[in-house]
Amino acid sequence: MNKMINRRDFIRKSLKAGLSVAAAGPVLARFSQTSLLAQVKVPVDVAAVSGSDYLKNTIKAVETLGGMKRFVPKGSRVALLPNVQSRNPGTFTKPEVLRAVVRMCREAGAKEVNILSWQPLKSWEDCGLSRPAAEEGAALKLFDLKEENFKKVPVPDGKNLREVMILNELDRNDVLINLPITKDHAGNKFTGTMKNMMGLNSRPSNRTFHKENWTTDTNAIEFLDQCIVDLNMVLKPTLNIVDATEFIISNGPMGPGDLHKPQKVVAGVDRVAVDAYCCTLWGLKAENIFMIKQADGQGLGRMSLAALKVQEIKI
Amino acid sequence: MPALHPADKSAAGPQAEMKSLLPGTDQAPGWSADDGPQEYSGEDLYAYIDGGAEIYQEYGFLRVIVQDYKNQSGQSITAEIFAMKDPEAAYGMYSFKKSASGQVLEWGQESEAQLSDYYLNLWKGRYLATLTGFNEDQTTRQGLVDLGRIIAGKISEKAAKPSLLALLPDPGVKKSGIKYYKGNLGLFNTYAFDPASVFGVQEGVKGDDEKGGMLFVLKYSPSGKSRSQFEDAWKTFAKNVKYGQFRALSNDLFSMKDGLGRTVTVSLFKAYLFIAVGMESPAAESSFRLVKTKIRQW
Repeated sequence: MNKMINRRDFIRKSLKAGLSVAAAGPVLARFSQTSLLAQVKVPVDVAAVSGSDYLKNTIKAVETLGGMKRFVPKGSRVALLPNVQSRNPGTFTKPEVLRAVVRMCREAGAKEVNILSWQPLKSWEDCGLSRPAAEEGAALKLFDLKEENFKKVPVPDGKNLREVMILNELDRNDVLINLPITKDHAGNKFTGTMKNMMGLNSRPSNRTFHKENWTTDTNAIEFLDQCIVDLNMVLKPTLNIVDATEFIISNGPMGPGDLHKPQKVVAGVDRVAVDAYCCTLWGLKAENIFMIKQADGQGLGRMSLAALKVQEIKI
Repeated sequence: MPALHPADKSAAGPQAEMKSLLPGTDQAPGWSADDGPQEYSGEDLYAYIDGGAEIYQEYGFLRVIVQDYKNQSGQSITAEIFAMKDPEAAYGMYSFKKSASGQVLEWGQESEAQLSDYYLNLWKGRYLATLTGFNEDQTTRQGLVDLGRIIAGKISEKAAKPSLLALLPDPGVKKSGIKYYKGNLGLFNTYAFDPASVFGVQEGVKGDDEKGGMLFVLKYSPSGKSRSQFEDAWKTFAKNVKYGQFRALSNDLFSMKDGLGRTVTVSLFKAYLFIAVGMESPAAESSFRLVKTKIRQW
């Protein structure tokens, strides 16, 4: 049984839309078929908007891609995946970014906007995300880690993984918008759109991404990154909006660490392109990040910024 | 019966020991414990910090206690006290977490602390403490220092820093840039050699010179392992397209250029490998000579 958390009035209001009947079709099919991705034509590959108003940056980034209506059909159910892994500064998706996205989805005519997570309510409150979510009319749907809340999903083209365990609730939604924060990660140097997908995978499954004998295994870092790529073969967000406003560039993913403040919100459909752009914000190169290089090589997206349309706007 | 020193309460078990290191309410003026502490040990660290746990495990993590503190203005500070397997592990993890630009606080010879914009790290004995505020105002920063001092005072264990640090040239090395490694992941987070495991790190140190160059000293046991690691690295880099201008300078010395055009020089000496990044070969070899002199004097 899924557990709906609604302790306070302002959260209870956000749940009044209620549950809808699950759509027909195989689990996650709408998030794994490239046809969906191919349908969303965008004028630029990466939109990066900088400025001191992070809500405006977010709106402008999506506008640059053609506006939220391009991604959210009227009457659709939208799943959002922000990052609330830690409450330390520069480690979680900013409330302003989340607020802007929920607002835009509502204005585009979404029937439901659902924030999916297996992190506890305290994490959402500590990060200041539960209030803006409720105020803008999103439902915060939290699930405990019981196996019944997750569904086995095969990874037919996985190089490391044969299957993953994805939140059942995802399948009730028509659109998936990925809302990571980009930041350092002590395990593999970088986290962005692709790594954020682990937020939909069960914790026990995520744990298998780390080799048991990793301290002596020479391939442990590449193993982790390949698992992330495998996961992304079966989970393809409709849109990625990355908080690159203020983030840690050391001691990731939990911090505390040195804060870097480019004040950017970066958006795009191609996750590999978005990650390739984001890593440059603190001097990394996409070709040196195994996850990005592998994803490019396996056809998940394109990492060569020289071959992509990148539009940078300053507000 | 004399009262037990807080850190002597280990006889009562590791959990009692960890709790005894936490500041009590109002020990730091204005700061009170908010709710009870949480504790994690061994593999449970993954439940607390997910993929961030691996680096702690590489150094040798035992347990952590986490306690939030609040003041009357509603500001909060989170205190994490990590017990590592030995003082070298704790120092290593402290050096990993240090900011490149923080302020070093002189709290005694067998302790070190660094205050950054909104957080403080402290090393003493086999403990590392990290205190995190959620803003950069003066009240919070003073709270970090006050709570940190109390924790340092409660840790009775004393230990010297890892002896390998003595091999770094002094003067000539910036203290803020010093790192101590116990594995490949630590080195990878400083400088990502390709592949990350090419040097098979067992123990190592890094210092930065004033011009931004990095000097690494890696120690191997048994001593013959340094030769096999050197030869493996030689073969690997000589054919790795990410590195250019590979030059064999002698049987025990080679250099190359990395993707940013920086010179990387690698030297073998007894049980050690020396690696310089971002120094031209004459400067690198000069640094290596200084380290060799120190090794001979040991």
